[in-house]
Amino acid sequence: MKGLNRWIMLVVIVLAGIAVAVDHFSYHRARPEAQGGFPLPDGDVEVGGYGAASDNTEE
Amino acid sequence: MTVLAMLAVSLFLQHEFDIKQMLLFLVGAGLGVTLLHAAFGFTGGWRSMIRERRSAGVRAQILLVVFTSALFFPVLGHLFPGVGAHAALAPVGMSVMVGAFLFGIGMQLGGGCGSGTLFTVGQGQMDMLVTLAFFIIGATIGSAHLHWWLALPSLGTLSLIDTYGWFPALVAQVTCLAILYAWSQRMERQRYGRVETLGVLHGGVKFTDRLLFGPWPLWWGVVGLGVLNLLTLLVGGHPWSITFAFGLWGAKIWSVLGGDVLAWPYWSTGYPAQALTQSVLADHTSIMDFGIILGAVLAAALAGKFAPAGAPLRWTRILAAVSGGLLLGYGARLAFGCNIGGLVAGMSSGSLHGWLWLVAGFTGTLVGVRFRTFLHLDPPLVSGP
Repeated sequence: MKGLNRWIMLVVIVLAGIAVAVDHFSYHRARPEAQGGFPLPDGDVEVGGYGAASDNTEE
Repeated sequence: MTVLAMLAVSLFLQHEFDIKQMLLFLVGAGLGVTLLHAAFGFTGGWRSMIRERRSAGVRAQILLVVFTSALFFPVLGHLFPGVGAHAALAPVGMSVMVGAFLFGIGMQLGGGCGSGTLFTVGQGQMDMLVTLAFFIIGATIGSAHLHWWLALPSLGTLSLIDTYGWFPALVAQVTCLAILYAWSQRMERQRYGRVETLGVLHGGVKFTDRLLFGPWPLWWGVVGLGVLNLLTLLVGGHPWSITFAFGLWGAKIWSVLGGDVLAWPYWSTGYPAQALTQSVLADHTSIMDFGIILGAVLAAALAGKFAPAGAPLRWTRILAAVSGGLLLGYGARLAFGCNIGGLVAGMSSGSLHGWLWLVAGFTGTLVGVRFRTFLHLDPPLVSGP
């Protein structure tokens, strides 16, 4: 059972890794300038770090 | 193997984006190691408090919020000019109240909160994979409905730091948390006549061995999570958060399957719309979540705990994981985050919605604990010694 669990987990991790890679390269080709970002709960958007850009939006 | 994978991902992120993405991934990995080695979870701590009056987990969580608040309040109160960091402010309203209540039920049924689900998946627990899958589905459905919930009554955002200044706000918050700490200690002492400490170290293990292979005492977890949360604030510009990524992954998957998520208000403007059109690796919460899972894989391998055999999955456990995962995801989206992004980040940012999250989430957990008994996941509740 433990061996089976381990193999299932490894397969899931590998499949998730492939999905992330496919997602990354398909979007990266379209927008190579993509920057890291994060949604702030109050509706502001932190993009590029340290308040480099913000966009006031309502959710 | 895991270390090599983490190194490769780190270098890839640095190459494709910038050093900040790499650092946030490594901070996430550190969080995963800390969560697993200290076995730091909210779900078990709250359940132990309700069922057995054991308060160690709850007291560790209170200390985490106190420690993180002490680190965050001066930064968010602009004591250090030039350090730009954003507080996790969200409206004090029906959306947070209902969302946290549902999340509280879901964390007991699903067997983990936001952070708990990630690190137990990293540990290789099969049932938590089911919870995570439905957590993602729930967060996606929640993002479709959020605009309706946000139209319900709300007091708007209320920041204690902006209202009273960072130092008076910190004193007031720590005082309230000290009362909660004393109350939880009292509950345990009343039942057992003594209180379990947070610094229990079993056996004569060397410090370096304990650091690498665990298990850690809870207070190590408090320090580790607090410091890594501060690093997230300084590097990423925002507190540690987990569940936005789940909705993003779900929305991307739904798009691939032909769904039109851009028609949903939540994904049509602002950062969510931008995140949909970018690589998942550009999103801070996603790379930190990946880091947490890989960090937990690493810690579990070091501790010899990866993919534990466990008992065979019963249908009641699967039913609980499915319903719990859906409630976790839906609730987290409505509540502007889970126990980390809503509760810890909210309270440590001086936002009143964090306190509302605490009350509503704990109330939901009271209900969730009874559902667990109903599904025979736990023995019946017994009151008093």
